Amino acid sequence: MSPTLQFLLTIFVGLVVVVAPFVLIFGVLYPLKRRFEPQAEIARTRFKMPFNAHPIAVTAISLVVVAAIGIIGYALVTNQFVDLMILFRDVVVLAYMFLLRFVAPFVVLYFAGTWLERKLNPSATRARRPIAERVPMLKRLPALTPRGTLVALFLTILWLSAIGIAIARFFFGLSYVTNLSDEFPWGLWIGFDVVSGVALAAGGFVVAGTVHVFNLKRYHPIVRPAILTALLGYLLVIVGLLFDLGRWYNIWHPIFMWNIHSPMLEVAWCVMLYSVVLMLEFSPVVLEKFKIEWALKIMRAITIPLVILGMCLSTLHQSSLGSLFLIAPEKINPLWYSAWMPVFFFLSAIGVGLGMTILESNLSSRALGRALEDDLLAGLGRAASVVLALYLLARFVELIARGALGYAFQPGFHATIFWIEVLVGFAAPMALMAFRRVRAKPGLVFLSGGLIVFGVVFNRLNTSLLGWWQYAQGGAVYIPSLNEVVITVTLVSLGVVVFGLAAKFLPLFPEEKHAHA
Amino acid sequence: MKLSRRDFLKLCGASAAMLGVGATVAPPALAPKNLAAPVAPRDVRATLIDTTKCIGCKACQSACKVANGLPTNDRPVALSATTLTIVDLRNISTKPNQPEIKPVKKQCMHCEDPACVSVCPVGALVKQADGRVTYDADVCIGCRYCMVACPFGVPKYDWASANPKVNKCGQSCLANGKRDKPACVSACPQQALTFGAREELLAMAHARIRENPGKYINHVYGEKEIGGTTMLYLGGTSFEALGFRVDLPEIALPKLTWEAQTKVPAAFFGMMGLLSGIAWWTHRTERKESNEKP
Repeated sequence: MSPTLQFLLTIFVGLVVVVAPFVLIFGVLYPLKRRFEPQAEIARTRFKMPFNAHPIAVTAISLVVVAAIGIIGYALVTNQFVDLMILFRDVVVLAYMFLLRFVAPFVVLYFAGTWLERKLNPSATRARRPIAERVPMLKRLPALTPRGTLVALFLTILWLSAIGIAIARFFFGLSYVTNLSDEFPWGLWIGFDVVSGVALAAGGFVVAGTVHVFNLKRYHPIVRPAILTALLGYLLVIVGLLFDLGRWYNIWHPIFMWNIHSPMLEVAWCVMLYSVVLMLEFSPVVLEKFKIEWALKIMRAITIPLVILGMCLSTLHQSSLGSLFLIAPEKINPLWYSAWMPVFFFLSAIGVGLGMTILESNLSSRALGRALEDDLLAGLGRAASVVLALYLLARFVELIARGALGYAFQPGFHATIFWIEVLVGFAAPMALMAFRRVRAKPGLVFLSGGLIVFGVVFNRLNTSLLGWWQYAQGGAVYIPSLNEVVITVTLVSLGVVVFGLAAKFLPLFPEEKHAHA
Repeated sequence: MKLSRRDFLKLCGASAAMLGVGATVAPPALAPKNLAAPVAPRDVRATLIDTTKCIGCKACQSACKVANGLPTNDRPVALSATTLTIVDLRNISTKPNQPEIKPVKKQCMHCEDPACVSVCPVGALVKQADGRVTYDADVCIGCRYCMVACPFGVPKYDWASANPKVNKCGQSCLANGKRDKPACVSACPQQALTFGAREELLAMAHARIRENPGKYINHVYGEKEIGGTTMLYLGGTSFEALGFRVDLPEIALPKLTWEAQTKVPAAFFGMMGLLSGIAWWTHRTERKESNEKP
């Protein structure tokens, strides 16, 4: 028997076994009962179907869902997922061709005919009703300000293009949308979405640790947004990874297949475990919203151990992203390659955790019209100044000890970006936040937070992308394609939108709620 | 809530102990078995490539493509997803306008301690006991860390595929015992390629250098580079001119990451102990209050 036939046969048998009871109950017995038994109408009101849907519709939907889960699961474990995907792609392409060649002409003809009829016979033209009347759903949308309309328009265009890019990437391959090459196997999606994304999510463990481990209770108001930022960051890292992994459908392999020599395994496990920890750390917000008291009690009881576990996992994760690059001493510019990269990545992650919290508080207070926690953010800025000073000291001592500081004074591309990174991204916010007078100005605290975020993201990009520009033969370079940028911006915008929705529907800023109530 | 804060240290201790047990028991049991299998040096099969004998006929390149079922009608100039071995035509002339072409066969070096194998998170790349470095596409997740890690830039990717593979020589032509030496070695009309035990080939290479003064430069490329490779090269000119990286360290690259990875358990549990201690100290007044309450 051919593998394809075997595959189809197994799917068929699986479908029959899994789906037959559903078909029997919802598709045959239930309609029959309704038909022949008048009391069934009462039963229908008592056991309400989801969404008040017709039982046949529910049957059809559950059939599709169960079948899809069964088929995808079977294909995944037997390594035939791609065949399935290609099959689906071909069906979609065929349907598209059919629409284009057979349906589209009729549609065009129909509209052309109506237009012609209107032109020839104007008296027959019906008055046009406003669009809100024709599509009642539109009435339920909030009225948009001009700026809101622009944002909505931008997001629509962005997300529609992202869907198109996703289809091209997942059904055809990476080269259709990216500028990745054999010389530069990692690009923007790893350098920004994953490596920088994890760094930007460091605010979660830094602020949670400040409050729950160091017991500095006055920082409590900024814990929840910081944890949400971290959680969204991690979820988007996973989405970014799905885009970047060539065999993304095998993303579950690291759970079972271990090579403990690989920092990538550590990264994978830290992503998995820490996202769960972050979800648990964030769960009280959701539980409060739905008033599930017993679960809240449990969550409060385990808060401190959970935060400690999260901090330990973050320590590993942030540093393991530095360990990732230890394997390539001959490819990365010596200004960034160092045996101490794991330590540097961890230290700068603490710095950017503070910086990102400052940035996120400022942005959300502007967007949501909330009061800003000026004194708290100034405190974070002060801490960031100390951390950045430590980082700079360690980095320059290491550069001098390794005898690599000379590279920073060889005029050229890498020396330039090194000084931009160090001076603008690290030294400037450190110097600014060292002064009480500067910290008293919220605008300058905001600026420093932004500079730290820029500095650390630039550091990650330099380590993972720009620091590699020298090694390739023939002077090949990597510059991300527009498609890669669109996906990255989409991920960021998704994070912002979900943060905004959470701020609207969940008790994210508790003190604000109390003030209103 | 108060009660729990009194007990959280206990919880910490319990979870740390559990994790500790898990960390010490699980990894050795689950780690890929072939990763560090001890092999007698004589069992490691290697190839000695004498570039001075090569005439650039590209028979090895064609034989490789035929043996691996790859398209033979492209005209490769470098390693690619469909070219696992290439005869690289190098201009070794130092004078301008007087090119002197030297063909050099290139392929996966099958390192003794391969960077690609050490970085693959799921163990899709394996260093076999006989020296080959093989790839299993069904295990691969497509992270391309092997391509990042390889100092020779050998692994090439199917960028235009929805189901991409990493492509490199895995000496799969030797699989299931059909051949006793790789297709490229059998195909060479000049006997520029010799297949055998690594130790013997190294001795042979040094003997050739000794017996032919002036013909070779006194260096066997692959003997010491990044911990040694099983593809060994003899050259008549500097290896830099032949297109090899001569700035590679002699330390095996996996040692660099392993040094960091071995500190992970200490970092994790050290951090856990430190943070638990800090939390215990910072919550001391609250603990006292809750203890005083009935």
